[in-house]
This record gives sequence, C-alpha cells and structure tokens, in this order.
Amino acid sequence: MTEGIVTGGWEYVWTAYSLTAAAFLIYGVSLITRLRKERASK
Amino acid sequence: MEMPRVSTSRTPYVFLAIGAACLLAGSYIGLFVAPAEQYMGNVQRIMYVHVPTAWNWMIAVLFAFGCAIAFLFKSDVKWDARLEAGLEVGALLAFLLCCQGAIWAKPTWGVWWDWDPRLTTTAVLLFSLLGILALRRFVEDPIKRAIWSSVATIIASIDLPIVYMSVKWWNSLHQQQSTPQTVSSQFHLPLRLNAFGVLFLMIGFLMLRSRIAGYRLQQELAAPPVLTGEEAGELA
Repeated sequence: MTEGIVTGGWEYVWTAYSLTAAAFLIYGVSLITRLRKERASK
Repeated sequence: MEMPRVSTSRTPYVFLAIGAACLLAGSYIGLFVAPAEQYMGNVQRIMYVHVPTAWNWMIAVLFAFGCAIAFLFKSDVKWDARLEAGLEVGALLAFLLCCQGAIWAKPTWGVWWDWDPRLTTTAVLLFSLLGILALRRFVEDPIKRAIWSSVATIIASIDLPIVYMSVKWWNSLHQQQSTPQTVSSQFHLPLRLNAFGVLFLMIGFLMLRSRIAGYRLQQELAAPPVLTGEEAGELA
C-alpha cells in the first residue's frame, strides 16, 4: 500500500473468486447427490 | 397433516445452468475487462462476487422468513421443506459473504476481521441460521420441528434490517451500500451479471434443497404399514 492506494492484491482477488466457485460447485454437487439418495431410499 | 408433493421437473437444473453462465460471463468481465478502481486497485474486483452474494443472502433470509410465516398461518409442511432450504442456502451465502469480506478486508483495512457493526450483525445472523439448522436435527417430531424452527427463524430475521441499516446507524468501518449512483458505470455490467448469476444459482439450490426436505418429510409423515393378522401376531 502506498499513499492510501492499494497496489497488487491479485492473490486476494483469485482467492475470493476461487472460494466462491468452489463453494457453489461443492454445494451444487452435494445437493444433486443427496437428492438422488433420497429418491433411491423412497 | 397433508403429505408434501415433490416435483421431478428439470427446472432447477435450468436455473443452475443460467446462473453458472451469468457468473462465468460476469466474473470474466470483472476480472479482465473492467478497469481497476482508483484507490483500491485490483482488490476492488472482489466486489463483483461479494456484493451479489450479500444481496442474494438477504433475499434467501427473506425467503426463509416468508416460509416461516406461511407455515405458521397455513400449517402446510411444504412451507417447512422450503424453510429448511432457505435456512441452509442462507447459511451458505452468509458463510461465503464473511469469507469474501475477510479476504477484501485484509489488504484494505489491514485486518481479516473487525467487530464493526455490519460484520458483527452478519456473524450473529450466520450463527442464528446454523443454530436453527442444528435445532432441526435434534427434533424428531416433524410438526414440532416445523413450528419451533418457524418461530426461531422469525426471531432471527429481526437481525436482517439491522444488518442492512448498520452502516447508516453507526459509524461503521464497512462502507455504505453500493448503488448504481455510487459506483462507476464501468462496474455496472459485471456487478449485474453476477447478481443475476448468484440469484439463478440460489433459486436452483432452493428448489433442489426443498425437494430433499420434501422427500424426507414424506417418509416421516407416511402412515405406518397396515399389518395382516398373522404379521401382527408375530410382532405381539
């Protein structure tokens, strides 16, 4: 950071985007898996 | 109590596909096309995922609140299945929101977390949602579970307007709400695309999660099997 201006920071940006993508992907896959299990046990 | 009907349409998958496409396009523009912000530089690009997550998290909590009210008025368990979906998706978005915020806070505020009103009230609501989900695990009777979690959701939702207004009511470290008037027009497209992307994903998640809860309720509410005289004699 120089004179109140944030420089660099791409590592934070990539971390935030990767975390968001991973959370949505893992949750979506878990939902589909859980739904199939519930349907099968019906 | 009426048995919940569970749809088998492919509509949630359509919402998930549209949501993923919007998010991919919005994130590409946000990362590679939109200019860096004057003071925060590239770190501001986190806004394109953080703000849409925040908006949609509020919608998810409002959805859960609406389902809780609807269950208490109509006593229809389909609203309990939807409530469970709203609570879980709301908790996911709140967790993601806190993580994204912490990642943005470190390079701009110098700390990962601060007990500022906006962050504190958001954390309170996240733990309230997790608490209600935990409560649901411990209550076996589906009707008692639906009533108790509906009441708890209504109480927890009181925090939502406090979260929204916290940056106006108190001298918060967190910036005030972003609106099209306070954000450069060059940032509008990725922000809107990602907002719709998270919205469509959230709708798809809510529909799928409601179906899971619906199937479980069907099993719980199913009448016990009618035994023949011989079977009843064996059991006795």
